Amino acid sequence: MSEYKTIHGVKVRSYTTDPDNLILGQVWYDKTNKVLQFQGAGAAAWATGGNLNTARSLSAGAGTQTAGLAIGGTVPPDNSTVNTEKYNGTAWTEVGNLNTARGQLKGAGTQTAALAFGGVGESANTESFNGTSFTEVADLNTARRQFAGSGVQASAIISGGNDGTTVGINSAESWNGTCWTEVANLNTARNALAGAGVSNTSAIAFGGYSTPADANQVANESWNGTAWTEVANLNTARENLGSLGIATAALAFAGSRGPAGPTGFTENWNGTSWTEVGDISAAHSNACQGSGTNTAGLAFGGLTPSGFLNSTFEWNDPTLVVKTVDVD
Amino acid sequence: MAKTYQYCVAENWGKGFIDHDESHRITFVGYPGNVWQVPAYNKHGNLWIAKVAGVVKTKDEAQTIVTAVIDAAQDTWDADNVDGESADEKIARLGDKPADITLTE
Repeated sequence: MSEYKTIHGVKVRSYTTDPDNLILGQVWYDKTNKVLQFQGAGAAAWATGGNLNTARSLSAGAGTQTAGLAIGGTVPPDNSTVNTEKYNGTAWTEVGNLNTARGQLKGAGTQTAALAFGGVGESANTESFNGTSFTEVADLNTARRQFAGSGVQASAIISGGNDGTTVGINSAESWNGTCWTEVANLNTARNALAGAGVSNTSAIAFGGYSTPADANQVANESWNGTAWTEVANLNTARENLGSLGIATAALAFAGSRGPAGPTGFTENWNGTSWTEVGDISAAHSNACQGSGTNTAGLAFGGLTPSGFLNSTFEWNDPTLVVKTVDVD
Repeated sequence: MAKTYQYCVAENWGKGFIDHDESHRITFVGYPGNVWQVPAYNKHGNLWIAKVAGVVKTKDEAQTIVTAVIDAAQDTWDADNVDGESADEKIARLGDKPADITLTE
C-alpha cells in the first residue's frame, strides 16, 4: 500500500489547531481531536436560521448574515407594519419601529446605519436608522412601491416600481446621504423588481414584471452612476423576488413566476452572468429584500399558500471548508 | 416503480432545522402544510427526518395535506374582491391565485 509520503513527498503534519493559510487539498492530523482532516472545496447551500418574531413579506433588508435587519413589511392579513427586527446570526430581536408602517419598501446599509425608503400607499418617506431608532429624512421625488433599491446609508440608488398611476415605471433616483435626485431612467420600465449594489454609482436591477400583469421579466440592468446598461438576463423570469449582494456579486432568490406559482430558485450573479444554484427549500413569493453577500447571505419571510413565513434562510458559499476523514 | 421521494410533516423550528451540510447533501422541498420532501432510500434524508421528528407520510397522505391547504388558499383568493377591480388589478393586489401542487412519487 502506498504511503502519503511516497505520493506527495512529505509526511502528514500534526497540529493542535487548524493550520493557517490552508490550501485546497491540504491534509493534516488534528492531535486535539485525533482525526485526519483535509481542506476541501466549499458547497453552496441554504440552511434554516432563527425564525422571525413576526412573519412578514415584502419587507426591506439591510446588514449582513450575522447582523441583519428586517424593516417593516406586510403582515397578515394584508396590513403594513412598522415592526423592525435585528438578527445576530442565531435569533431575531425587535428594535425601534419605523415611523410610518409600510410594506413593499426597500432598504440599504448596515444594522447600525441603515436607510429605509418608499413603500405601499405610494410612500415617498425615507427613514434613517442608527441601530436603535428611525428618523425621517428627505423624501423621494416620486413616491413608489415595489421598486429596486440598494446601497448604504449615505449612498443609494432606486429604480422602477409602481407610483400609484403606472404599474411599472422606469424612473430612478440617487441618494447622496442628504437628498434624492432624479437620474437616468431604466431601459425597461417595470414593477416588483429587485436590486443589489453598494452605492449610488454601482448597482444592478433585475426581474420584475411589465404590464399587463404577469409579463414577467428576466431583464437585468447595470448602473454606473450615469446610465443603465442592459446586461445578462436572469434564467428564470419572476417578480417580487429577493436579492442581496453587490453589483458584481449578487443573489436573486424566490419570487413569483406568475401562474406557475412561487419558486425557491436561486441564481448567483458574478458580474457577467447568472448561474442557477441551490434552491431555498420553501418556495415563496413576495420575498423580503435580503441582506449580506453572495457568499454569506440572509433571506427571511415571504408568502406561501400556507400564509406568511417567519422562516429565515442562511446562504453560505464557502470557497474552502475543513473536512474530517472517516477512518475505520 | 421505486419511489424517488419520501415525505414527512415537520414544523420548521428555525436555526438548525436544516443545516448547511444537510442542505448540501440532499435537496429539500417544502410544501404548504409543513410537508417536506426529501430523497427516498437516502441515509441523509432518513437521518434528517429522525432529527426533526418528522411524521412520515405516504405520497398520497402528503398530497391530501397539501391539497387541503391550497384549496383553502384558493377559496380565500376567490372570495377577496374589491368592487370595480379588474383581473389584472386583483393580481397586482393579491398576487396570482395559488396554483395546484402535485407531488411526485
